[in-house]
Amino acid sequence: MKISTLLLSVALLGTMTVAQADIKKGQKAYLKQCKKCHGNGTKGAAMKTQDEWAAAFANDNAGFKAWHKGTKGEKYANGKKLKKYAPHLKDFLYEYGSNSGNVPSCG
Amino acid sequence: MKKILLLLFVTLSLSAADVNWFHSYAKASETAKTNNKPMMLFMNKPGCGACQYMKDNVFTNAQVIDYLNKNFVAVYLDIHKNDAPKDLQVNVTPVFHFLKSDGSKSIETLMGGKGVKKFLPMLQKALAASH
Repeated sequence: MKISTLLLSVALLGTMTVAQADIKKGQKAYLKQCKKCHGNGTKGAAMKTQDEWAAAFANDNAGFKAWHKGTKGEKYANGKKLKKYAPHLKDFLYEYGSNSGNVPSCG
Repeated sequence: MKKILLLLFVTLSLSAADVNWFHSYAKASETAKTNNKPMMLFMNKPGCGACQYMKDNVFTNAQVIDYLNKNFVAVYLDIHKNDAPKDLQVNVTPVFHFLKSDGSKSIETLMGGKGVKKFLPMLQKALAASH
């Protein structure tokens, strides 16, 4: 019983680690998908405040989708790629939002 | 005429207010030891947006300039060609190393940049940790 509980805990911890958002991954996703239209990471993240970024990614990225409606980025905003990378992208954009006082490094 | 002279004077005064950068680690290190001042290394590269942000928004701030010039030996190094020791070399930019006058690290290295409101307290922390 004890061993099974321990194994379950380890498995759960592993899942949590995998599910954790990663700023570096978010930065990579930004550079790959967003840079072309929005400029480098410093400029892109500074387009909105931290609260605005948090709100944009709430409710299945509803705000993010609304911003991109009718633009080149609409396909990406409604696609599988954003769904996959949204937690990372959100973390990156939030960390470096205009009122964060932080500036992302260049790769 | 007076107005023009005044404008010229103001412009010259403003352009003179700049961080006194060293562009050689060896020379900066020597100065730091002689004056018993900590060092701040700004590792950057051409075309780096975040480095440009720091140059345009932080290293133009009068408080930052004054604090750096008074308390630090400021070093401006290109990551592709510099004379800093191996353990200070980096691949990403900007990176800020905060060193004591003997060259050892005073506080944790900063990867990426900060706005004035966050950068100034970091300098204060680095200065406090250097003595």
